[in-house]
Amino acid sequence: MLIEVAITAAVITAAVGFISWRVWQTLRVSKGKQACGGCGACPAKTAKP
Amino acid sequence: MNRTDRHTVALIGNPNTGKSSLFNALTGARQKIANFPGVTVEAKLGVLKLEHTEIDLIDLPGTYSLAARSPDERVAIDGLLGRAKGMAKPDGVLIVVDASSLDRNLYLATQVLEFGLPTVLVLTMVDVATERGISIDMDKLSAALGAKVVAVNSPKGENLDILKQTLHQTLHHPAKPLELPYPEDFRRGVDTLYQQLCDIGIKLGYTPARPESLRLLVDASGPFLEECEEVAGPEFTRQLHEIRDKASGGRSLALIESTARYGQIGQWMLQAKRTQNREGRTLTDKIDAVLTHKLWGTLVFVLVMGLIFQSIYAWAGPLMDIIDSGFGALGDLVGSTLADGMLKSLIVDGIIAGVGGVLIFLPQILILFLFIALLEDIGYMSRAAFLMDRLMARFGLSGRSFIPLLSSFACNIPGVMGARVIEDRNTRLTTIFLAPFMSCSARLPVYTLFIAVFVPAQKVLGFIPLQGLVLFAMYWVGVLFAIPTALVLKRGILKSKVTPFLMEMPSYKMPRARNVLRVLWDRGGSFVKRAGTIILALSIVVWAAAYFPHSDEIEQKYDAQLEALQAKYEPAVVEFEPDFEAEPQNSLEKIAKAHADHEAAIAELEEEHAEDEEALKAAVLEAESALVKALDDLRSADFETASGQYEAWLEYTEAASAIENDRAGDHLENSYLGVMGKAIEPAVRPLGWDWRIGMAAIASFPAREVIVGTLGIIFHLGAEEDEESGTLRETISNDKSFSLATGLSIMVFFALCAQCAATLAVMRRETNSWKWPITSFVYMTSLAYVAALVTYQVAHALGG
Ligand SMILES: Nc1nc2c(ncn2[C@@H]2O[C@H](COP(=O)(O)OP(=O)(O)OP(=O)(O)O)[C@@H](O)[C@H]2O)c(=O)[nH]1
Ligand SMILES: [Mg+2]
Repeated sequence: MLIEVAITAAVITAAVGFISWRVWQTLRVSKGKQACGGCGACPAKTAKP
Repeated sequence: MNRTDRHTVALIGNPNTGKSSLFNALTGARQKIANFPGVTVEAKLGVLKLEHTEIDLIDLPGTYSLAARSPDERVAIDGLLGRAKGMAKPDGVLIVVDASSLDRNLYLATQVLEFGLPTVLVLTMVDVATERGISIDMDKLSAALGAKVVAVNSPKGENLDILKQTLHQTLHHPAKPLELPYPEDFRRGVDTLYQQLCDIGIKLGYTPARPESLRLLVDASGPFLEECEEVAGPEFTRQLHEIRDKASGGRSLALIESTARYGQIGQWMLQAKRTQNREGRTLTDKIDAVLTHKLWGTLVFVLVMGLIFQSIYAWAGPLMDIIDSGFGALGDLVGSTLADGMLKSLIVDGIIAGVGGVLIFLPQILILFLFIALLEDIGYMSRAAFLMDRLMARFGLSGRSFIPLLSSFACNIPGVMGARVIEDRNTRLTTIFLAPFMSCSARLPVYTLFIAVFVPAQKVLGFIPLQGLVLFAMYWVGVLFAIPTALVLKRGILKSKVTPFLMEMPSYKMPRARNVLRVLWDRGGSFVKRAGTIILALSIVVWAAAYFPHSDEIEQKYDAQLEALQAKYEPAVVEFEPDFEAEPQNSLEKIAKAHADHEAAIAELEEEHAEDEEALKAAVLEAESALVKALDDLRSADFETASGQYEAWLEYTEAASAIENDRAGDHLENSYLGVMGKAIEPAVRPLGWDWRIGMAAIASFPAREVIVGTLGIIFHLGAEEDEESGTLRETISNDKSFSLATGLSIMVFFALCAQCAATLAVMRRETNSWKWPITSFVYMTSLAYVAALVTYQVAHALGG
């Protein structure tokens, strides 16, 4: 029971964390500091120099 | 000892000449390639590995000249001059030249060759040129230009090794700038200006190249001019005007420049190019006569679009069912292995219902992109743009805006970015503003879900399937609202002169299977990735909001009800749990199994005789008498008791599942999501929505597809499952709060609402201000609300 609660809490935290990270990334896109990762319609992989 | 040079080489050339194809072939990158101008609008870096060194290769947007007119051309020029963010100044250039229109392509080449950078001229489309009877003497061309010339065919991978070797050698040899025979005054003007530029170089922080002074002399405006005026002050501007006056000798400087260039190109062509006049019109011309014809072309356009939407319906169904039953099985499997509780609910009601609900739309997405890839590869986009130009002019736009808008049907983001090809600022802003009105692929799941539920699978006029037709119509909703929006913008704050639409018609090309497959793989992959990341995360959060607080009070209330119910029946009934797989042991089990078998048989018959009602009736009667007979055979001493128990058991399970349903519903309504939903319900009631749809729509603001997942989660949580979980489609069609009017209003809302955080972010980047994305968001959301309201009220009044 306790384990169940712990796992669920961890999953929710991870999800919230991930969403916040994406929000931050999206804001970076708006400033042109980052290629957009939005729709995935342009999956051009920029090879790393 | 370890001395190696790192080179940076830029790929520059006219639009649609095959730069990105070459870039991909050389670096292994996966830049988008398509057969229309203006595909690449950003500078991209890749690495070309050579024997002893590595070269940073920059893929640039296409441009016709170094005098930039549109933002994408500016990106190309910035890339060449080393102004691109995060990229070094190129110390070598690959000029990509379309052999089938060599003369015009060489205009840019002469401009680039004046820089005196080590350069290789790459001829592409030699196959097309040969077909048109053009042959090019590469040695003579090379001698004339003073640069190596290599012909490649990147789609086929031909001559790439030669190109690599040539580039490698060229980079290690100094090059001489090309000298063109300009009039003396002009040349002197360039020289004087160059001296001045060198003088202010210390303030600029870099020394401009000599050809940059030519641009400064000829071009009336530009970022370089602004920069110089900023660091050198008004004195510089005054001197510049003086120099321009002297250099022009009363003529137009731009004309002097182009005369010199085309004059030179003409001479080279006499030496290096031979054209055999082929008889008659080329195939491309013949096809174009139809496709760009006012009537036939429009007809073909409408037919093509109609075909796409019909196919999405016709082909996707079976594939969706496979994925759907896969997720159903997964849910059942997890459901039966995990103990009831929070974690099981998270996985089954949250993750599987949420992510699975979205993923089943993969086939539709793939079909849509298959068609888009085919049209792009064939070269149809430019024809469609040409066709639409006349129409677009009525709304103050031009065919130039059409391609970005058409790309928006895949995704609004490349649409917004594609507007970079538009020279005029106001037209560009209008196009950016209109892009989100085009129904992107993320709206597709919403449309198909509700169409599948509410629109009968009938045919109109006997041959046009209604569902596909409604889908087609949904795509028009956005367009219909975009038109008045464009009119208002272009007549009001974003007025501009209508500029003539000049666009190259690329030659038709056979779609290359590899490219198409790669597009499908990439798009499919990113759809799955999106479902597995952001949709997953949002689903989890939505689930949590809909599951908690999950109060003990509610639990106890229903536990008590259940206990009271159980008290009314004998233990044999309450504890009876039939297992139809196993051999029945006692009379009760036998009776239950006979009934279960009968039900299964009826279901099968219904499927078998779905078309023929009479046959079905007869078959059912037969099955019923078989049941009576089967029950007869079971007669034994305790048959009467067991029958009574079976009846009681039926009654009990029904009552118990009603209690469980109420329990689930009660939990949902008292969850955080439920409480919020009830609070906002008055606002969405007029749209025909209940609080669940309202919350699902709100949860979809970061990403549209979430509505499908959220509805899946809400329905899973809000009702205790039967043995087999029905699909979301079935659940919705059985739900009383959904009607045709509601379905239409949801679809209209999603067609018009600016629900995509990424698009808004890219709008901010492209327009360099928050003003546009915020206006767009407020405008589109209000519009969506009002339109959905009207849709519902009208449809409801008409009895939908
Ligand atoms: N027949 C033929 N087609 C080619 C050749 N090279 C490229 N293509 C096709 O030409 C079209 C344009 O290719 P891209 O690589 O997208 O052109 P681009 O120069 O990057 O275009 P922009 O980014 O719009 O400036 C595609 O359909 C390619 O498949 C070639 O040598 N022969
Ligand atoms: Mg390109």
